[in-house]
Amino acid sequence: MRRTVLLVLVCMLAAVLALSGCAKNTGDTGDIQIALQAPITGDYAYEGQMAKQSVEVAAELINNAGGVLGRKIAITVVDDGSNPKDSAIAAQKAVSMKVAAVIGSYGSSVTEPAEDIYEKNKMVSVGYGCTAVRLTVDKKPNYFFRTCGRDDAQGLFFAKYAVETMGAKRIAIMHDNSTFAKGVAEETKKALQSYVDAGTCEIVYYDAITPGEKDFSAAVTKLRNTNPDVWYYTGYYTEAGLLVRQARDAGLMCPFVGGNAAINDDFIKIAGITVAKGCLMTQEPLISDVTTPIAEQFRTLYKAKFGDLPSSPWPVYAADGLYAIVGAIKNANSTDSTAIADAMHTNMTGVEGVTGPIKFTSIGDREDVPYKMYEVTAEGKYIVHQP
Amino acid sequence: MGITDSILKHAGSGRPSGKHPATFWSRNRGWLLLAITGALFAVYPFVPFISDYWIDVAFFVGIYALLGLSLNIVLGEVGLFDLGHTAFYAIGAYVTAILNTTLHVPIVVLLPLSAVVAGGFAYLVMSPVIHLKGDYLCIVTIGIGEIVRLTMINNPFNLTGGPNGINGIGSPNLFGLAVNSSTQFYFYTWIIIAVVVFGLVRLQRSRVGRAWNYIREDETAAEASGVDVRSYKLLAFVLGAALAGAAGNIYASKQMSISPGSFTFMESSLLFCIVLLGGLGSIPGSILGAAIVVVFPEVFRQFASYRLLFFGLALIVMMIFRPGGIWPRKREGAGLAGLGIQGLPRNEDDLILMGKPDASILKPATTDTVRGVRLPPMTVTMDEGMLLQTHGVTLKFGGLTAVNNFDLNVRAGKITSLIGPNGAGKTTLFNMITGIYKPTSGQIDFMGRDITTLKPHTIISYGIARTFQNIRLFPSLTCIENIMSGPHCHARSGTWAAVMHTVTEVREEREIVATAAYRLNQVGLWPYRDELARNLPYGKQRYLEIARALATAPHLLILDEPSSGLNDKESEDLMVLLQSLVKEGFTLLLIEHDMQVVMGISDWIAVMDMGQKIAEGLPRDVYNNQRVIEAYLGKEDD
Repeated sequence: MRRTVLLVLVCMLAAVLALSGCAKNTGDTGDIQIALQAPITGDYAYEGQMAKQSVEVAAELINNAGGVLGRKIAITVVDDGSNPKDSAIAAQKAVSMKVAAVIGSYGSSVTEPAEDIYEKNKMVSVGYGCTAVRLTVDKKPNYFFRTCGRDDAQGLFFAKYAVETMGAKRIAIMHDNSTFAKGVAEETKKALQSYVDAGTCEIVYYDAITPGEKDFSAAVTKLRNTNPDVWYYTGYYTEAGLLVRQARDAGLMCPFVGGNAAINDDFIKIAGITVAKGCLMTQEPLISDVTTPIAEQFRTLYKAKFGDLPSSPWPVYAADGLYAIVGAIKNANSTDSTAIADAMHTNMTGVEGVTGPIKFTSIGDREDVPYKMYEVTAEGKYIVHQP
Repeated sequence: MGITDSILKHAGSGRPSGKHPATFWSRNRGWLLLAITGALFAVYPFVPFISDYWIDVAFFVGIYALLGLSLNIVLGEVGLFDLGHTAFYAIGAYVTAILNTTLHVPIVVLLPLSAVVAGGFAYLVMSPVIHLKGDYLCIVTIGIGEIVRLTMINNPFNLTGGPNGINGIGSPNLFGLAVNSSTQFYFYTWIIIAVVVFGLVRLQRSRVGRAWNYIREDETAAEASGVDVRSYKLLAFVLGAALAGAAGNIYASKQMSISPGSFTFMESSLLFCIVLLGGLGSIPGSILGAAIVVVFPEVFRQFASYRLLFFGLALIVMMIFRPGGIWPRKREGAGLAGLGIQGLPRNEDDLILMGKPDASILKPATTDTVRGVRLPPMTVTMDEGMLLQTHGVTLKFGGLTAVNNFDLNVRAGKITSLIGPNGAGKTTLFNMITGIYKPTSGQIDFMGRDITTLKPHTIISYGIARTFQNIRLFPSLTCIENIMSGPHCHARSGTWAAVMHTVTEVREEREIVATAAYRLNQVGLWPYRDELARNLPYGKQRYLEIARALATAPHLLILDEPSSGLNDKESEDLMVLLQSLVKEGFTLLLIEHDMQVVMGISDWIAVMDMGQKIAEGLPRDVYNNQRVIEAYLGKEDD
């Protein structure tokens, strides 16, 4: 027995020694090391994988154009496994590697512990799929930024679009109790409050379903009885697909609007094209609808390397994160963290990402994140909705 | 991960073995190993190539070690399947987060408070379901785990922050010394673990730890040996939950933010893995298991999406090659020193003499309270010379009357036998006397008290011990540990005394082991004291069970078919032993089928058939009784 124990201990020690040697220090010469913290494993592994591919494409584009400060960019991936504990360890790993800056991560409650660690170690981190308001508003971070919009941006967009453009009077909001979905739902409710006070609309339904279930008939029946004009679901695509199908079967025909996690190709597969056709979503523009010059290059190279384009908008924001960091390094003329952070706050002139110009507010939120209302076509494509 | 190891080894190597000359190393091996391990832990963060990342990994090994140790109490020591242990961890973390962010209570104050709240919660939710066994308890604990997590998500009274959780949790501050950096958290956590391990090692080697193991090995036998099963199970849950709550406190203060995503069912399963990987009931095993569960996924991080695949494979391989866990607790071969009792004589054989009971143990209890349980008042007048009498005892299972209106008289200082065909209801009557079943009607009197409604562990401490028809030992414990369950019911020292090694506790432990040694020697099993009970041959297991019953110092010893499975020679030896017990002053009540034994030693015989008494009297009279012959052989056809 003792020998086995010894063997296990020796193996672990050897692994520690072998792997602790590979710290990637960004010095004054050589490649500039930038880490991507993403959920390569766990519940949202598909997002993490696409983010990795997107960042690799962006790095290649930047390096092909000569890099920055005469140096090339090198990307290291640290996996946060889609959960808060692993996220803290992953962040500590990135800090230990002494990279110049970090892109990450996906999911607000996963990003939060990492944000704290990066902040404490004065390392710039740029979130790409973390939309909870409090990450910036509550913490007022100095080293944390995000290239994606906040929950309230999407909620505000929906509230305005639903009432003013679609003319909805009876609005139903549904979420799945996840951090993200509940966040969007709450912000939507808040944004609608002024219309409710003015008497232009009312919230007839506000409730959560349980993710992972297959039969939502009870929730759908309750929803149908409230007779809504528009139905906003802020959760994820698996439940969204089932919900829409079951709602249509139950005779609820009002327009379905999904949040930006609800609708993708898998949603169409689950719901079936006849049901999915005409469904709407509030969305950061997909890569296929972005018209910037960088987007064109990005699409070409991504397709050449990986075939299909990313099916969700978030991975593109990871690429934007890299463009923001590289732009800031260029404007600051330094790879020092504080200099990068200063540049990101104050001096982002001429910094262009895949989705357009990138500027940050004083608390690290991106300015002018564009949103669009998309519609699923009969061919299973997404077009900008025409009311 | 080596601290406990050293303590265990120290415990096992207090004396050099006889064959090898004592060297400085062999004499002080335990302390040296402890010192080396401590030094390694202290130096680890300062090794040049150990970055903050690896220090954080070691910190998380610590968190999971604490959680593993806490689950090990419940799952490893007592054998209760708890798949919702994360609930207690979550409660500790949330208590810390809520009280720190709203009322600004310091984290250090919240460390014990989180433990207390988690322990209290465990007491509340587990008391109604603690009687459930195996998979049923497992399902209930899964439910508790999910309820706690979903409650956190649903944000009751705006306390838990819903799915977003709570952020802005402060760091511990030890009297002006702030715990902030990775290294500080590393030391903070591992020092707490060292203290916990110290306490757990002492607890494991005490009356409490043994009682937990008795329950794990055989719940019925534990109850019949005087262990208050329900209380000890609850104690395990409360202690385990308290430790998990403390772990939650440390986790929350390190992470600075918590959300329900950290307390999923997967976490509970991971804790289960830790305990199983390390070895059930093994303290160093739990710590090693935690190290594996945390470090392996980190090592495989290089392989990105394949890393959990490799981790899973590693788990499977380990379980194939070491099904009992990587570092199981070894009991055999540790010797009496492995029991962790201080002040034992240098020569183990001296214990036997120390354990010789004085005659007073066979005098009736003078107080009305046994181990804090009030006995019924001494109001019953027994018939002259009788120790135990049942009056019209009846037990019905639904429509079936197993025992019908039975009057049994057991004369003090004599051997009374109860005989009858199979299925007559003899064992059922025994089960009523010892409190396992409650009679439907009738009364059982013992030494002037009505004991009809007492719990089994109270009855045994009052003086009725029993053996079982199909031997019930504690198979994976050593012989001496088996017997030590006997005096358990007469000792009082609890958790705190065991951890602190109070003077009373140490004395009690010595008395327990001495009594056990005496009884083990009495049945001729002293040379087998360090063997596991399950490795004994069948006949010796019988004797071990009798010795265990004797060690409770009973007034009445009830033996259920003691000679079954024994050959003629062994039966004769048994008769000699039983007669010597009567000479010592014990009263015996037997169920027996071997007529040679019954007729050879009985002073009085009662015959039972179909739940009723059909004859009673001296052996000679019963032997010739027509109804008895009919009951055994059937009625002759005319």
